[in-house]
Amino acid sequence: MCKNCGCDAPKGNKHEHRHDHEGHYHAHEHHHDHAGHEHQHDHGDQPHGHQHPETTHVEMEMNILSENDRIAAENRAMLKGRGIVAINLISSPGSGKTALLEKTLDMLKGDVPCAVIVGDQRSDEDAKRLRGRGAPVTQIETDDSCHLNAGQVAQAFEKTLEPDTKLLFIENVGNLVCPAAFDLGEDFKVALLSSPEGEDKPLKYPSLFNTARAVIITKIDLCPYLDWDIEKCRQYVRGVNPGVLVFELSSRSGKGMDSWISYLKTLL
Amino acid sequence: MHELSIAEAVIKQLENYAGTHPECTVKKVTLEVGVISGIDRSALEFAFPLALEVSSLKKLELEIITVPVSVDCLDCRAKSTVEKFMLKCASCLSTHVKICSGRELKIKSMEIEEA
Repeated sequence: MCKNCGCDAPKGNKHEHRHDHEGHYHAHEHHHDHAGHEHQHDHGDQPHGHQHPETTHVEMEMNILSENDRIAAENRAMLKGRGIVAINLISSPGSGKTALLEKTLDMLKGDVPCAVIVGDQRSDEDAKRLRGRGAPVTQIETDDSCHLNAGQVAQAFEKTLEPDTKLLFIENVGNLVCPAAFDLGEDFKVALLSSPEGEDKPLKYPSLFNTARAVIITKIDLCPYLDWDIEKCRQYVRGVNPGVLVFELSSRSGKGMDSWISYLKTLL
Repeated sequence: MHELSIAEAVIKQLENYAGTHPECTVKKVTLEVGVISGIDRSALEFAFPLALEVSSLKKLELEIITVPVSVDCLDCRAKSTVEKFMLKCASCLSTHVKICSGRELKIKSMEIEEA
């Protein structure tokens, strides 16, 4: 019996299998051919032979996004080869990804060579805000797509990365769900959550908060004006991702920025 | 929101298979979709026939197997299924756990008919 499908394939039948092995797969196909014979069925007193179309079960065990994952693996290998740390920033629209990057680039200017790839459905408004801060910036317009994919990022490398680039920020399209599914080849994901969004965001969108290495709670300067319980928020973040790093900061006031910048420097 | 992209990626892989096996017609595809894969089942069921219409494939059946989130406890070694998404061991309540399923986004198998 085949352990994959539990079928009783007789010995000698063609029987290949397909598995996902981190980026490649083996073909793995079940063939239960009947060596040229037909099925005979007795139909009461009017026996006749007829041929049924053969239905064959084929085990695939393939990642649906294997093509994206393949390109992401190439991106990752290239970045690693050049000694570049890449961070994929994901959050809802308006959580402060661009404001955080503005402040981050200002603070790293002249110290750590950075580069930015930024995705939005339309416009280069974010790129305009990020330019002039010492780092090359490339805007990707995704049109109707709600996330960046590995191929789009790969195409942006050439005009974004410079020979001395050490830190690449990829600002994803503002969306808490879809970008989490698409590996871009980054070293890790960072999820942002702004105080006005409410403490319970991690519980509502666990797939992102669970896959992030760090969560940044932004706009903490607004906390006094909100019914906001930061301890509860920390508990919810750790509830869906027990080992995650949590930063609490305000890009506007600069509070908490130092520990984020120090952390970035430890990555190099 | 990205379920159409997912449906298209599934169909692309089925088309690749059909391209190398011209004698075969895909009749059914079975997917495994984890609870925290970020995919909404009903949105995927809605998007799939739309993506199929503009493909080279004929109508085929879509089966979706939902995979729950399960964790291995690194303290007491128990394996448990997480109901509400709070990562805790159901046995000893430790949060020192490792996710072992729930993120799947896979084509599990197909049924094909040979001409």
